[in-house]
Amino acid sequence: MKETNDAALSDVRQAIERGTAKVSLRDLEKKGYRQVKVLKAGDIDKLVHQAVLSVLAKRGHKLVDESEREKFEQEAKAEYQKLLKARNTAQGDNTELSSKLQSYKEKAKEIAKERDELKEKVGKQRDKLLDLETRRQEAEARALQFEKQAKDERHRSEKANDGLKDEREKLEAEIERKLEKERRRLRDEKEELQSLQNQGAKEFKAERTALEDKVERSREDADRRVKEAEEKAKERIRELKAEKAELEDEKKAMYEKNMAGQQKLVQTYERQIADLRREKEDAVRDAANSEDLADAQASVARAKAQHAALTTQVKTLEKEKADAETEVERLRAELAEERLGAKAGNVKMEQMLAGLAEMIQSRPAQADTSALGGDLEKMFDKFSNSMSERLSRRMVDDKGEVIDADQAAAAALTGMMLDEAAGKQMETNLEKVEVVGTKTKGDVKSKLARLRSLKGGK
Amino acid sequence: MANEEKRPDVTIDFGRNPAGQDAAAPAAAPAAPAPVPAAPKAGGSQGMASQVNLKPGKGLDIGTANLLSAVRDVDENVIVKQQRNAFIDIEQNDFTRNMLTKMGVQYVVLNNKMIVIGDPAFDLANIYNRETRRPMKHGMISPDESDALPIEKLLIERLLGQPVCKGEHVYFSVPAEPIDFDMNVVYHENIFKGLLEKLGYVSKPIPEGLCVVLSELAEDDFTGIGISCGGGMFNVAVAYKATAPLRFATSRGGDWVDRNVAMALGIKASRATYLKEKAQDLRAPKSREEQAVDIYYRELIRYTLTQIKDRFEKGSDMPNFPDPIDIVFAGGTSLITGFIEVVKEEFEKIQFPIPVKNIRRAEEALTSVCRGALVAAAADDDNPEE
Repeated sequence: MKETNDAALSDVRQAIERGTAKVSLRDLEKKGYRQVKVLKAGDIDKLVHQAVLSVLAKRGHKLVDESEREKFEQEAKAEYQKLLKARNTAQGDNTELSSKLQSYKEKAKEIAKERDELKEKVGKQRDKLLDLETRRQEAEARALQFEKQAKDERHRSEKANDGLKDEREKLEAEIERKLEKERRRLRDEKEELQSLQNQGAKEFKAERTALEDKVERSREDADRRVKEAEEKAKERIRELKAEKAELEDEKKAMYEKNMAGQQKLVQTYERQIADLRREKEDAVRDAANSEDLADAQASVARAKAQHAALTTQVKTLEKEKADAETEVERLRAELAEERLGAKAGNVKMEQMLAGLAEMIQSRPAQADTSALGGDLEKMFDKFSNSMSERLSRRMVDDKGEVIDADQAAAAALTGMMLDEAAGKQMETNLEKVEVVGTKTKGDVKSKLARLRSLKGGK
Repeated sequence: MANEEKRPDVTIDFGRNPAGQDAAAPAAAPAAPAPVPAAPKAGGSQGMASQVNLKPGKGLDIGTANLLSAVRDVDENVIVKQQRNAFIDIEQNDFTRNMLTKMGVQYVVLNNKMIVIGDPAFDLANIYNRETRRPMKHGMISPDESDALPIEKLLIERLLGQPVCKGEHVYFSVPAEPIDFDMNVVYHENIFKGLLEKLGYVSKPIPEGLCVVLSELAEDDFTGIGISCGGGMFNVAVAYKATAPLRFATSRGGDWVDRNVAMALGIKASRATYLKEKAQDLRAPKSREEQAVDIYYRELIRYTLTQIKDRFEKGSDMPNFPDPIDIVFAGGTSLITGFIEVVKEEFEKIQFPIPVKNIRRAEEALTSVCRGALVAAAADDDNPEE
């Protein structure tokens, strides 16, 4: 029997186990269950056990078949639910009452606490009031004492003020007296100074007027001297120009004449030399072609004699040619000297112009002719530069000169100078010149291609 | 130099001395002085065999301060050579001759005077506080220097060497007529033409400004303004499709800066040249000397731009360009740092009558003119093919 009851309880427990679920308190809180009732598993077993016992007691201990057993179980379950409900209700009431009791207890505690606090506050207020009262009384005592002291001070101060006032008035009077005396002295000094200033101004004005007159006279004198110098310079420039033109004409004529004569002479000599050489060659050729030995010998003798005569002639002619060349050299040297003379004249003129420019620059800065001075300075500078350049460039001038009137003449001169340069023997160790750079490939080629494409050519 | 590093090994005999010594050999121990060989006959072919690797056609920049030549080899490398166009005469004796030879200083004995040539002349001038002598003045052969022509002949002979073939063309730069100075170039042009022809070349003059255009404005179909900033002059060419209908020069150049700096500082012009060439940056002078250089450089630039503007405004021969053009500066005087920036600053101050796209300096400003002359020589249909 005992085993049967245990088996039934085990079934009930398993059924409860299957029909319930474990839920955490947090999840319950999330679902809004802040308070839950908890039934212990032992209590459930106990209730089921009681319910079973109760049913068994009502029905007797005769479970005959399956249907009865099921009915019995249903009744047991119903009984169980009923008992469970009654217990829950009782327990709920109990919990509610316990809760209310707890709440009342807490409220009572709070009230007691508030009462204690109030009592404490009241005590403190009372102490404070007593303290304030004490301080008020002390303050009143001090105020009375201060009032009394103030009254005494005021009295003493009034007495002292009367004495100070007299002293101050005395001092002010003394200062005023001294100031008045000083003012008087200063006034006198100022009047004296004014008088002196008036006198100085008159003297200064007189001196300034005298100086201005002097400056004006100097300025006029300087202007006059400048004009005179300018006139003289212009006159001298005209003279130099005329002299230069004459010199150039004379030089040109002489040079051309001599050159033409000498060149003609040289050409004649050269022609004669060529003729004689030709004759000599003919004579030698004739001698070689002669069949008759005697004739040949005679021809040879003739040729030899001719050769000797020709040699003498050639020597004479060469000497004459050398003399002519010497004459040409002499003429060239003369020409160079003339150039040097022209240069010296130029230097002299430059010196004169420089002196003149210096004089213009040294004139008083405020002279009325400053504008004219500036122009003159520029004019003379320009003129001086132009003259220097023209004279120093020798044969490169464009007017009145022999050489650069046309390009052909320039080319002829160039040829002569180059011949001269080529004839100069120079000793040198100049064996190398520095290579400063090398371009990479395609530099010239690409440019050539572009140039040719522009031309539309190859 | 970077370019030298890039240069491929080429076996050229260009610039060799008569004894066959290599031009690129160190200058420390030159050989004993040798007499200058006679110039080859016109059209002659002496030395041709030794220059087979060079293409016919040469460019020559005859500048007041520098002489430069340009030539192509068969691999299309352009070889440029430079020689400073200055000299100084010193006392001639055996001791000096030996010393100069040992130091590798180039000299010539002429008319019983020992003449030191090139950069060493500047060094000696600075040491002895003297002026260098210049074969050229204001862009042209100097009338004041009696020794100018033999010296120029010698230097050019050494720069160009002999023609690689009969009828080889050499284009040489000539200045244009200056607009602010009374001068013509006929004598100068003929002197160099004759000199080059005596060396066996067919010589043709080409304006300096046009050389800059040919060298630097290929991308713009050789259209624009080329300005060669030389020692004696600034040469301008206004070009349209490789022709320069308008070209002129102004009379101030690097020498003008030197002269004025020398006067301002109370020093020799050679010393001023040295100060100018070592100046760091035109816009940030760091000493009294650099300040003087800066002042006169700015004045030179301002003056030149104003002259150019006036010439453009007054002339009726200005081409009408359809598009804005480039202005390219070249020449040794443009090499100083900050030059183009100062040009741009001064350019902003004037109303230039032509729309300008860009103002720039040639990539290799010093060699631009000779390279342009080389292009002209190579493009000449009469120049012999290789």
